[in-house]
Amino acid sequence: MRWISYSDSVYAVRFSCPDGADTSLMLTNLTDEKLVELAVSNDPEAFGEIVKRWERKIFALCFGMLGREDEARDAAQETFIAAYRNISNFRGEAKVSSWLHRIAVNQCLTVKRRAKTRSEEFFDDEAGDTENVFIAPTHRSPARAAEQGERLTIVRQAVSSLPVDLRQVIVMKEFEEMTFQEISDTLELPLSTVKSRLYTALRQLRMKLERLPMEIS
Amino acid sequence: MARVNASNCRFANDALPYMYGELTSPEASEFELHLLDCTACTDEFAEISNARYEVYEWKKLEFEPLTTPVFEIPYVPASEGFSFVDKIRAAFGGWAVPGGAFAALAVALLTFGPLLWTSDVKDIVVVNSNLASPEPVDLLSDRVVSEKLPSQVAGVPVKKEEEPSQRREGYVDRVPQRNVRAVGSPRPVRSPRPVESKQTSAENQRNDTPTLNDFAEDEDTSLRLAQLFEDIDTSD
Repeated sequence: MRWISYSDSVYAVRFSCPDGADTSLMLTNLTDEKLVELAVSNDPEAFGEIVKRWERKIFALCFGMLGREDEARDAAQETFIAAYRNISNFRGEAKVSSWLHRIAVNQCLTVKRRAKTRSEEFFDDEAGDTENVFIAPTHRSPARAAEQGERLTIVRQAVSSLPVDLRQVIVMKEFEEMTFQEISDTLELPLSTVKSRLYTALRQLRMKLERLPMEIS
Repeated sequence: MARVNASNCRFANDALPYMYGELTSPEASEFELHLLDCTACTDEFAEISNARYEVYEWKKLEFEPLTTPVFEIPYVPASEGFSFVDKIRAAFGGWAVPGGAFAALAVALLTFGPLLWTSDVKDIVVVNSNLASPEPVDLLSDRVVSEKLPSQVAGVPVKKEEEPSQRREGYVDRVPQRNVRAVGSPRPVRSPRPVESKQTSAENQRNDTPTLNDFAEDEDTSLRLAQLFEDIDTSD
């Protein structure tokens, strides 16, 4: 099998693979922009690689905006459908990641608006729809379970390696689910310091986890 | 879409509170509109959302399945057993009752002890035998009482007292407190008692010694058996 440099053209990469069986393996080594070019030229596998590469990040962004996993999953799915439909409009002025982020933000706002309208329509329904959400059981293959276990180990190590004051804020926020004001009162720190510490902690954590594969199989 | 550094954006500090749902509804709406317009803030928000989700998933998969241990604590209802006295009792354990009794006794002694002591002191009159004309001394005011006593004014004889020479030097006589009058207070007028004097002149001279009262406190006025028989005619 003849491999060429990643900086060469997409077509060169494709042509370097004689039988086309290892196309997906080659796609993983391409940049986002080249994958978009391939997707524009009606290559479904290229767009599949984009989804695989960004699915988890877009889902995390949606989860950060919506705060619910089921809604975030729907919004992430809607994001990639919208991206596939409008991929021909991508002009390359911005990064692919920024383009996807913007679509995701739009989708999240749409989901929020829809949820707000729905809650106003069923305002009299005391039970509400939050308790009766149907979530499809996620099937965990052995490969995915192994990947998840590896990721958890890395996350645990990354959190443990944070300085104590940053780790403390993360634990209080994520595990104890305290508000910023409660953390500020508990640690006797200014509110701005608490936010700054959490922001720094998340940034450092992100850098430590860069080597972690972000895709969800 | 604006391209600025996220840290310089005025909405940079809103990303975390928005992610954790701690912005008010108008603030959240404003931030959402800003996200649509600011690539830098959107990318920054995506970065911290990613990091946050990693921790969230770690917590969900590794900690939430763990069963929370249940600790049974014998709670006491707030309505009972939390008074101040109960807290003291709990602090002292089995020594609460004897300790309380001892404390009460100590408080009583501290409160009334000085009063008892001072009442004894008030009763003391120092008689100095070396003085040519001894005068009663008010120990409380340290002033010499120079007024004449009613017994001297009315010529009422008083009970015979010891010879000054027979008294030991520095001997202290006890006089009941009610007979000590504060200097300057109005003197109660007493009518002289119609007691027939049978004292000799020498005794009267000794009685010139001023006293604090006009009657002898130790005078025994109880009914005598002999007095009962005085009125009985025993003649044949």
